[in-house]
Amino acid sequence: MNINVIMIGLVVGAANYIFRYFPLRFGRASRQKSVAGGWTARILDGIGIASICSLLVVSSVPGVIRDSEKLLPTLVGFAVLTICFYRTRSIVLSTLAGALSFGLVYKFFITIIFT
Amino acid sequence: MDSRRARSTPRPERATASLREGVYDSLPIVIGYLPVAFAFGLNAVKLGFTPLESLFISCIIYAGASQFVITTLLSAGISLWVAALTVMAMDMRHLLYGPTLRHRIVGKLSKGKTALWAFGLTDEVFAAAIAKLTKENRRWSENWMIGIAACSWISWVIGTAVGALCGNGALAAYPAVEAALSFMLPALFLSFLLAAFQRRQSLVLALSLAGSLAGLLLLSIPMAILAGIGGGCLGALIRTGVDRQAATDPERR
Repeated sequence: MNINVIMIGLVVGAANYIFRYFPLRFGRASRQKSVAGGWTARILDGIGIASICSLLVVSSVPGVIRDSEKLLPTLVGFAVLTICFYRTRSIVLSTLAGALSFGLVYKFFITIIFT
Repeated sequence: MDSRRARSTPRPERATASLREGVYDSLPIVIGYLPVAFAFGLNAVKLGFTPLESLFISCIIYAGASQFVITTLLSAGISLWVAALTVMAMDMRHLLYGPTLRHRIVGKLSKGKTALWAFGLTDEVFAAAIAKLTKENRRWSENWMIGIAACSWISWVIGTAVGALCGNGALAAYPAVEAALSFMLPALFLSFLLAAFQRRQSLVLALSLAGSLAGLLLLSIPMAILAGIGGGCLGALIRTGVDRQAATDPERR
């Protein structure tokens, strides 16, 4: 194995672990009274939902921009997922249903385009 | 009548989520990780890394986008330290995950268990934890986290190994399956968003969406994530200011 790969693996791996572990280890524990009010509490509350929202954008939008025929399957996938989530409240089922719908609509699209 | 009575009686508090529940809840992450890790293994071998090296990177760095960047930079002849610093800058957002989770976790954390699941605190595992803490705060447990983090890591490593050893073409004959797998991560994030969202966070969501879209169109993917988080924080600050003003304004009260 190349020594450069080992070096970068160890350095970046250690840095990632420090980024993930130390804020948890030395972060301030939950104080139920502060949850509703304080500035810090509100920002920390906001970071959670904002991170997920940003990750949703960066995981879905570039694919649609690159490949415009994925727009309709993406919209259908998201719609099925949302309906399924509000009916079942299950993350596992709704994610699988959304992905399956995306795949089926995409396949249907490919069939139309290539025939 | 009976069902109405049953609805009115308070539900007994359920026990904390177990390791087994964590394993089950990791299922969408596992299905989402396998094709992405497969693509990483494939890409790394194409760029000249050995299967063992790509597996080593997946095992020890365990951060999707960063791994793609590292292999691309190293194969392009960029210096080791420039590559390392670039990737570390990309992963700085993980610094925010710990305090955000800690703020919601009720009770003490075990040193040993936290050290274990913190290694697997990727974007997807963080999103799963936030969704769990928002929906069922009291049921969140470190065993559940270990279950979800361990299965996700194992699937990432297996996906890399298969990609590095088998090469391309396995799913070429099944475009629908390939497409469905590529949609697993966006689907997963939307599910987590629906599970974690509360109406009072509408402004946070709107500004985060605007920030990440602007970051994506004008800058880059890592910057889009930071811009989205920044937008969300701004939304949280505005909302707090408005709430405080409403609380102190005698006319509104």
